[in-house]
Amino acid sequence: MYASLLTRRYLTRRVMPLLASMAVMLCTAMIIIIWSVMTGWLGLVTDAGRTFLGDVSIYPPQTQGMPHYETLCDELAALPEIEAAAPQLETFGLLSFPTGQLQPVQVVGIDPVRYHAVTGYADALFWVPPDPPMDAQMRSLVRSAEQLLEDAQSSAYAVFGREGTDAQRTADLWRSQVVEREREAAEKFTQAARRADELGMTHDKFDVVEMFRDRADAAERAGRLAERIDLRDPPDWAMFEKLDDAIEEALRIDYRVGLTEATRRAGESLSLRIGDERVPAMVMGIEVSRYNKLQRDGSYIPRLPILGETVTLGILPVDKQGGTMTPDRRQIRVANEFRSQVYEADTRRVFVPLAWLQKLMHFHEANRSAADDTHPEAVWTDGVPRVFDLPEIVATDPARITTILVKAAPGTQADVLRDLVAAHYARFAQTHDEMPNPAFVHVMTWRQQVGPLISAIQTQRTLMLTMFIFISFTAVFLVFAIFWSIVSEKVKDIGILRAIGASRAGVAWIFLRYGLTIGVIGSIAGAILATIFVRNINELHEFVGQATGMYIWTAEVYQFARIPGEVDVVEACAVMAGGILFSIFGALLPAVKAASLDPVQALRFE
Amino acid sequence: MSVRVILLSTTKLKKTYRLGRVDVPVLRSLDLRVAQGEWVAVLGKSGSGKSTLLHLLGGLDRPDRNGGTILFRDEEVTGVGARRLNRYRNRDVGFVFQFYHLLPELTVLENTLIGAMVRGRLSTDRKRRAHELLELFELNDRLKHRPRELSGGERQRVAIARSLINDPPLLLADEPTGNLDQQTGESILDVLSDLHARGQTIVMVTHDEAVATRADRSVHLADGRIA
Ligand SMILES: Nc1ncnc2c1ncn2[C@@H]1O[C@H](COP(=O)(O)OP(=O)(O)OP(=O)(O)O)[C@@H](O)[C@H]1O
Ligand SMILES: [Mg+2]
Repeated sequence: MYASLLTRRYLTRRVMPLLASMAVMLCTAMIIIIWSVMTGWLGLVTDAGRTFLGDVSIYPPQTQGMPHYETLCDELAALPEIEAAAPQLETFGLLSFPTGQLQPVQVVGIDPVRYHAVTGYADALFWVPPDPPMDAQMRSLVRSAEQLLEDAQSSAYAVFGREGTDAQRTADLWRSQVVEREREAAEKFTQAARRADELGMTHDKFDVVEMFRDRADAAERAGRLAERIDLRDPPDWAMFEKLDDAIEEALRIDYRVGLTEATRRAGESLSLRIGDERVPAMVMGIEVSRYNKLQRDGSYIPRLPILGETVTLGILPVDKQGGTMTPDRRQIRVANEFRSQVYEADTRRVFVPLAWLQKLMHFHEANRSAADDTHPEAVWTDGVPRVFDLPEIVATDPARITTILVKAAPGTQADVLRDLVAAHYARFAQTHDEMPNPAFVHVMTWRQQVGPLISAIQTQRTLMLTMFIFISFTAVFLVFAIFWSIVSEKVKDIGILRAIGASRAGVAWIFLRYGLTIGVIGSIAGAILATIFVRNINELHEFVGQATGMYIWTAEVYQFARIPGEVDVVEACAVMAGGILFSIFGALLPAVKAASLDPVQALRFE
Repeated sequence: MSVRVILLSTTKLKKTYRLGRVDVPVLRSLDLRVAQGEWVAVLGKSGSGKSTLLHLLGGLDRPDRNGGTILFRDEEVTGVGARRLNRYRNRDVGFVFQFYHLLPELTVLENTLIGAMVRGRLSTDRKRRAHELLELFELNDRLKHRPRELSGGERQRVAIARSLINDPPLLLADEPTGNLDQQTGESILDVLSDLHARGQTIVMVTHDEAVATRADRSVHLADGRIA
């Protein structure tokens, strides 16, 4: 009772406790900020590290590879615990650029659509065609075409299969409200396509002209179907459904939005349109070519254009026994670049079509002859090769890959999935020829693969926190010093309180309470300060950077343009509890001193 | 003559201070009996040990080992444990100091109530008593003031009110007028006299013969004994 009154009065009537609270506040804020940023960074690195990994991956021995992967992938994908599975072929290669620059790379052959289904690969593609900027004319054409189609659709539902009405009237309604509108919509889409063509909105990977033509075609088809449909009883519902589908198609084809776009982008990422045909192409890490310059804000500007450039990839194929075969090289164009924020991937990795790499590595499907050591003999006669002794084909070697990436269905734990996949593989290997021995096949979760990197950062976080907690001992000393002086100043009060019957514990409690209050106020203020700081850390960083020219956080060093950080409630509470404990700790000795004072001596104190 | 009930008595009370290697005996075998309702003035020269005696009586300090006893009613104050001693200081005696010793951060009312707060939860009973005392001492319009805003006499009246908040049977006053001018000192003595008239037992220390005359009885402290 009197302790709370005195604590309150001692607090509100002095500057000293304010200073102590501020010390506690700053220390609390500092630790929360460090912890939040480190944890945020860890989260970013973990997420990034996951970018090109499956939740679980199957690694057969590399030289041998794994056949029958299509069947295995299909079987795996069919399991309820698994959302998707994708094959991957990996090797090392030497990339040479037209500039004469050579770059050792990790070459990864993928089927981009399935690979995207597992890894979200398309999201890492760096150069994305911009949203087609439509002009006002195009926008109004598209809007009215869509309106016409929607009206036609609802009219079709209203008119079709209506019974007991005048047949002539129905036919007229149908013509004017369905057929005509669809025709008109098709015409508007065609105009939009023409306009897009005029504006040159033909991008290699995103063809606006083509998109509008597709929509015009669908609308046109709907018009034709509507014209042909029999309106008499009994209604032809099958035909009506086709009509409805055509209208839907004309309404919905829009490559700009949704999943379709990412999948489509993934699917088209490893090819380029040259003239009328699509040729295989490469997607490389943003830092592989050194053509791009990293800006401080994390964006890149190309120093040289890399897209469309032809590079040469050389690899050293290895046979099943691990022996090297004749080095091979192929030219390939660059279709895009990716950015994963995993340093190793961004500087070293290139993606190529799976089949293309299989050929280059001799991992493709091949015929096997009876005797391995007999080669076909070609004898040149009159400039024409004549082949003798063609060996008998006894078997077909299936195509192979080196990794299968598996994505868990929502709710499936990676550890559980790993055991499931391993078990499935063991069964699969028994029933299929030439499968690598399960004993030599590694099945790993993504966490097992990125573990070393994450634990390095975890260690760093622990180190930083320990350091700062040590620094925060200064707060303990500050509280201690301030309390010591307050107790010294209050010796007479202590003597009076003791003289009127306050116990030693009661007097000690005044000062412990005092420490507690300072701790609580300081900690809460510190947590608030830290939250504000962390929320605005990038703006503050930018501000300080501009004012002083010193930027602590740069994308080159930390891989991430923005400083991460989210204040975790549990962590913040732990730090606050620590701050309070430290304050009580600092007040402990002064409180003991106060309690041990002899009342008479305290009263005589001048 | 009515039967006199002894409220407080000391027998062969001894208190020796140690200064370095030298023993300074201040009280040597002091005997004193204070009856219920009596106002006793303890006279003595400066340094004779008056404050020391009062501290012992108030349980603020302990006599020497084998240094005699202090009996309050039938309880030996010198032998009780810390808990009982705290209770004794809180409820059985009230202490008034020469230099008032008010808590500077607290208001007049809070200073008056502090003893009741130390005792436990504040009851309305205690609050009423505080207002009653402050009214009695003509301080009821200064409740929210802090000690530094009061005159010496007012401060001493607050100190007396504080000492009486738990209705202690015994009031100990160490030179209550020592720091005041003649006239103010008189007013404080009037207050004590008033309390005495209502039956309050008072032991008052002073070096001023004139002040001592206000008490029922004076004793002289010299050479560590009651002369
Ligand atoms: N803590 C102490 N240590 C040593 N000597 C002390 C201590 N307290 C008091 N004394 C000595 O004991 C003697 C009596 O002191 P006390 O304060 O009781 O005197 P007093 O009669 O109250 O004097 P005054 O009238 O000046 O207040 C003095 O000589 C003083 O120096
Ligand atoms: Mg004295």
